[in-house]
Amino acid sequence: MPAYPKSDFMDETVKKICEKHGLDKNIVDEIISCSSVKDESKRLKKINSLLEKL
Amino acid sequence: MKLNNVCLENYKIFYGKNILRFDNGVNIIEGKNGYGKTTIVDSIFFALYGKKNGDIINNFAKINNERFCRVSVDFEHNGDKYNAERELSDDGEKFYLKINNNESNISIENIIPERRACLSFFDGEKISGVIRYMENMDEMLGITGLKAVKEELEKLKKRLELTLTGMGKIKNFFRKMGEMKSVKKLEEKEKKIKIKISHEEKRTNEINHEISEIEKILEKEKKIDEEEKERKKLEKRYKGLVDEEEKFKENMAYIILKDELGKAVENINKKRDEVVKERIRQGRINAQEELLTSILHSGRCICGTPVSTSNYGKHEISLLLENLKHEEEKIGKIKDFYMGYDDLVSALEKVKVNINPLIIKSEKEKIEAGLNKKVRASKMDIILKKLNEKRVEGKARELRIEELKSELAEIKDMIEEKREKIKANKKWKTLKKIKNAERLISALGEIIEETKRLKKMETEKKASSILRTVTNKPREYTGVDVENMNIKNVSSELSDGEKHVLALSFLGGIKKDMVVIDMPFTRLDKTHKRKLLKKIPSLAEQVVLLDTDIDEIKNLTENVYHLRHDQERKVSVIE
Repeated sequence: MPAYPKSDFMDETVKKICEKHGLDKNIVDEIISCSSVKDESKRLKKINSLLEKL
Repeated sequence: MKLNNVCLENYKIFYGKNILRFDNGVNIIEGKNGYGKTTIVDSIFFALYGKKNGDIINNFAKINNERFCRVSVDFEHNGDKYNAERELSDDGEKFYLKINNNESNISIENIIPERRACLSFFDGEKISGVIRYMENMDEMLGITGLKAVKEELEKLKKRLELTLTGMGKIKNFFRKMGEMKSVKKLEEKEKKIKIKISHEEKRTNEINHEISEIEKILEKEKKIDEEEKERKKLEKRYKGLVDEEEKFKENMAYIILKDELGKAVENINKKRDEVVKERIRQGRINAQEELLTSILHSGRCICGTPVSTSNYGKHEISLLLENLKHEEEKIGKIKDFYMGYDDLVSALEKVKVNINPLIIKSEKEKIEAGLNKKVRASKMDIILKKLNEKRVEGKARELRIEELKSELAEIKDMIEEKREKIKANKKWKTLKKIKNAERLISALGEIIEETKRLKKMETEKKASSILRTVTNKPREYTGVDVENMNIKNVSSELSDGEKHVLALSFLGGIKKDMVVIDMPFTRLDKTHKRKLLKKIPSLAEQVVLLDTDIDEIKNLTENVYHLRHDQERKVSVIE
């Protein structure tokens, strides 16, 4: 599975990690979900654009 | 990944179309050894990855001149529906992929890598070897997706760093935003000015061409103008001549003067002859003077008689004196004539040249001939005016072009300046991205570790539960140690059967969509088999079991397929 396990515990854990690194969890989730984009160039483009929003 | 349908056509032992439909839960395929159970698993790998061993086209199909085989697999993965179809014939191999009914060129490796698919297919006879697969723990725990994102971020970060290196040193990244818009505006303005300049230059070129054409015309007109001036001169001269002629005609004194002068000249000429004669006569005067002087000096006449005594002598002297006086008077008059001769001749010549009506007539005729030539009036003034206007317009346009060029240069400078700002801004953005990527990579590392820890925990929990249920040593084998791929706290070497149980416990512990096990219970004793049967449905959302004997497992599901074999044709069919 591309993403981390969907559970309240994991959500909370990821939230804490993101806060620690000063990152927006929603965008981090979006970047993680990019792994489901099959086309590599589209995937990288999306990650690249999301990096700017972080 | 979950299987929906598998259709085999002329693949290995299977002749014609053989379709398998799989449901969630347990699916069973029953078939004796050599009937094609493993071939079904092979066919899936052929369809997905083109894997084949030896000749895969059914022999009976070949006899029937059907020299092809085809396998089509419908499956679901991460919420998308796929259809992979592969065909092998004399024409070669063809592969078709549809994603949600749309044809796609994406490689199936990008959807489910073969190494991951392998983790869903197990050979029961070698299932204890599943532990070997556990070496790829990340794959088994399903955190490769997160790892892949992390790896891509690292790649991206390197790429951004390279871009940044290309951008050079960063001095100031915190510049005003929104420069791009103003650059676009400036660029539009630049474009407009360029169009204007182009228009002005085009028009200036046209004007210059017009000026050059006008100048050519002007050259012609200049000649015409000169001719016209000449004509005017001639006209003036002609008028003068006419006036002179008129004057000459009116003033007869000129004619008289001319006649008089002519006569005077004739007289002079005559007088000249006389002068010549008189000069000869003058010789006589001299002789008479000499005679008189001699008489007066000697006091005697020619005859020798003393003058004082001879009346003749007195008379002779008197005559001589008179003659001398007369002759001298004559000479004086002649001399007067002679003195005025040059003036008279000059006056006569003047009259001849200036007031000779013949000369006037001849000149008049010449002028008339010139004046009679048809010459159009010169348009030089109009053309000059036009030329000046054009020159003024051209000059004005050149000035306008200069102005526009100056404006353009300013705009270009401004654009350059803005671009520099944007470039700096881009650098800042890239740096920001790199920093974000760094932070995200660190965060992902932690998320991966946390996920791994959690998944390991979950897997161990579930696997341990299965192990405890299945094993004959529930007290001894308290749980599965995922990290060490072993049973927790185990002190002795596990038997093959125990390894088999451990592997199946792993499989059950790992959250999977589908698991296909060929001969799942080969190495298990009856007790293990009985215990494991209860756990089979929990191994994955979809479980496909291929076995020779299904008496004990057929109650797990209604979805059971049987493989039948035709010994004569040596082909199998699915029922």
